[in-house]
Amino acid sequence: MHLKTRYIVFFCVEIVFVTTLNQIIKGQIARITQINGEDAVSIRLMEMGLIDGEEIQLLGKAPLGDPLEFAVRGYRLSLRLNEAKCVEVEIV
Amino acid sequence: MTNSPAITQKKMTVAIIGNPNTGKSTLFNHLSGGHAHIGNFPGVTVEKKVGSVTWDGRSIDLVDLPGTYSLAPRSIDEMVAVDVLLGRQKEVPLPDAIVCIADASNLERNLYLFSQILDLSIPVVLVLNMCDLARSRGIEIDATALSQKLKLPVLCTEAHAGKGVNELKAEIVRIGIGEKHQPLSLFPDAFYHEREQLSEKLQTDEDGIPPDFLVDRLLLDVGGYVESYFEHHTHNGLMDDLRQARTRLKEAGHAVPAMEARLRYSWSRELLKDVIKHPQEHQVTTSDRIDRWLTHRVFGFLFFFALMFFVFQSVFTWAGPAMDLIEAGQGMVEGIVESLISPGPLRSLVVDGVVAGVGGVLIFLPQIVILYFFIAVLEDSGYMARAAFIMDRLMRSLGLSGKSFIPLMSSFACAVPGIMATRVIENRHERLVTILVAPLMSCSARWPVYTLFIAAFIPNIAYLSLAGSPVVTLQGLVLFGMSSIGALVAIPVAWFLKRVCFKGDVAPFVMELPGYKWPSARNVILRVYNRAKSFVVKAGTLIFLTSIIIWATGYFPGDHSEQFKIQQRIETIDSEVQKLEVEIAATDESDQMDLKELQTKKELLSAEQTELNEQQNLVSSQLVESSFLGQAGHWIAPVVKPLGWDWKIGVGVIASFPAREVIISTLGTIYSLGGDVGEDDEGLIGSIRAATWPDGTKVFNVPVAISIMVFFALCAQCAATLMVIRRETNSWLWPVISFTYMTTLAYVGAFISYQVGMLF
Repeated sequence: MHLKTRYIVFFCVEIVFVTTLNQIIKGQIARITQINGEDAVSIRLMEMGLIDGEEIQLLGKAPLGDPLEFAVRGYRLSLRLNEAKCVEVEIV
Repeated sequence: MTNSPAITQKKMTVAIIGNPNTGKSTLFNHLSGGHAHIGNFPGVTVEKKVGSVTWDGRSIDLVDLPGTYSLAPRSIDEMVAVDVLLGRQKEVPLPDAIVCIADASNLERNLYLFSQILDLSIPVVLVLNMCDLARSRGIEIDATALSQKLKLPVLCTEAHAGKGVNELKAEIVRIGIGEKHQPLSLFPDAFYHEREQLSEKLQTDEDGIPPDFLVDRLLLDVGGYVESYFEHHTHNGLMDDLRQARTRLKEAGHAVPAMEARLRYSWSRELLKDVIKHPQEHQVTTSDRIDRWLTHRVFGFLFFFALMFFVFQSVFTWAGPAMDLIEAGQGMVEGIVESLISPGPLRSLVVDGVVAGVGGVLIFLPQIVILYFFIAVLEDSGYMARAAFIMDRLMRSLGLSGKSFIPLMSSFACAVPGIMATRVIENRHERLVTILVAPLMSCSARWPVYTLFIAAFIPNIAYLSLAGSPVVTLQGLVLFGMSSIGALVAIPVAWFLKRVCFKGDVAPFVMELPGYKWPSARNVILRVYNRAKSFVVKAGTLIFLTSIIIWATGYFPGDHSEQFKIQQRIETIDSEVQKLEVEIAATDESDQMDLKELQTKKELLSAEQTELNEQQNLVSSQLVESSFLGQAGHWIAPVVKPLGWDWKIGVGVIASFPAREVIISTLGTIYSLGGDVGEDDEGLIGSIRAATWPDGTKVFNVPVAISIMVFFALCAQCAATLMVIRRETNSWLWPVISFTYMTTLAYVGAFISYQVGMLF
């Protein structure tokens, strides 16, 4: 494959598959790859069951677009865009 | 019972813990039979609920701990639960057993907390609550298999229907005498090695060996409460040791804090493998379908505001008749006291001090009951979490979160239940900011003040009329302005507190949205009852005391004998007039002579009564002026002069520090009318309009009226509110701060309104 094409494909793969939780669209299911940080938010997210390998789905948004409602481990969790940003996911 | 009497008679302590929204309170209410004693832990805001019960001849203290997702304390409030479970709280003995309540429909996450509880090695029973809800979602749980795997008792309950409660009681009595189990020990050996080394280092300090669980938390919770506790209570090298231990763990592939969550969640998944059957994943529930409407961009907002409007409307309209009833009851009690006790200091104390004071509190009870009813229904149904979800974006511009919205909304009826409602906010700083701005919301006690001064000074001009009836009026606009001024001022105050006083504390908004369900009547009634009771008892006692103090300062020193003589005479005339009226009614109409004679007699008496009334008012106002309160009024006259007030208004404001409504009766007394006037009293309005300074100029004009209203809109003149702030924060600091900042704001606001108003 041409080097340039390979680069573009790689770039697209990056966009499509490795993203953060605030970027997925309504109804989409994503798999958590990593949570960044040791801060209170990250710890709280992990305690709530957002562990790598877990699937999470965006169910909807609050009327002003923030916070977001997710389905994870069979329950409904609401996160702000800011907190969703800490969670790296891949689309499945 | 085969156990030895010594064991059976020992009082047992049972701690109840679980995630929020698991029906913990409902189950606690069932277990304790609704008889819970509620208290605060010293120094912290956490509420302690203890219910004492006797089952099978065993007396048991049930301790209800606040709902939590994890036992990793990040604040002193969260530390309370850990301290209770480790027996480190002086007021509560080490629990003999723990009841861990889990939501059966959300077991995997709920077992996270449970796995931490297992590490405490205290006998524990796992309760799977809301089993019916789980079943309806197609989740099947084999409780027996789970119990066998855990080697611990596991029970299914449906707390809202009272199902499984008796089995739980029996289980608690049984496990209390059981043996301690081994901790779970999920972590790699390297972790326990580090823990041992840390324990040894901590051992040298005066507290003795800290429990293993605390050392675990020290290692695991990066930046947690345990870390900062040990940092302040142990040798200096601890932080270095800790950092090195964590680095070693990370190099061995067991980085904290991620390790704990990963291990505990894989444990719970493994545990549930053959025990639980889920329907296919990513199933859309009824709750989700309701949510799509209730959090919809347009309908969500519409529904939310319609609901809030309905709640407010109900608080004010439904409460009306009940409030009238309480007022009538108060009048009746006054009448009875007056017929029993002749005029004198004792009667004055009972009528003007005690009855007026207690009645002044009780009058707001209907509004509080109605508002709390709605709050309990909204909370129990699961909508409250959605209200926080919808409002979060707006509230964040104030530095608060969606969770502050409901407490602030409640404060429009009365700040007392509003401040109590801040318990839903876990973040301490955010909760304090909400508590501090809640009294700014224009509560119903301010309305009498607004209506009096608006009726007296704001011209009744209609700007917009529909079918002959005015829709937008100047008076209405001023009333609206006064009601919203507090909320508007709250915006910069909240912003300032959050950005300047509680800097750098951004609370995460990681909130569970529980499934919608029908609220349980039992829960709602119990919650409303408890709130109403605590309002009457706690707020009532303080208002009661302060009104006696205000009465005394307004009564002493001074010779009241003349006043009593006049009062006695008025009452004698009253009964004579009544007798005459009976006679007039009984007299034959043909007997014109007699009738005329009686009529003249009555008219003469009425004339004397009018004169005596005027005399009494004059004497009363002189007595008030010479009383301690009046002296204080003269003393503060220079202070309130820049607000356009004379000493009489000053006295009214001082007297109304326990409760705002008091200003009406105080003004009535001082402006020579006696204390018995209402806010729509033509006489009071008339004499306020006519009041003059010694040089003959009018005291009141529009700027003065506005300045008084603005003062009352912003001030903290409510002993009940300050008392509740003290109770909820468990410190005198916050009520003092509230009072100081609000009084300053009120003074500045009144000053600006008067000075600017006088320019026009």
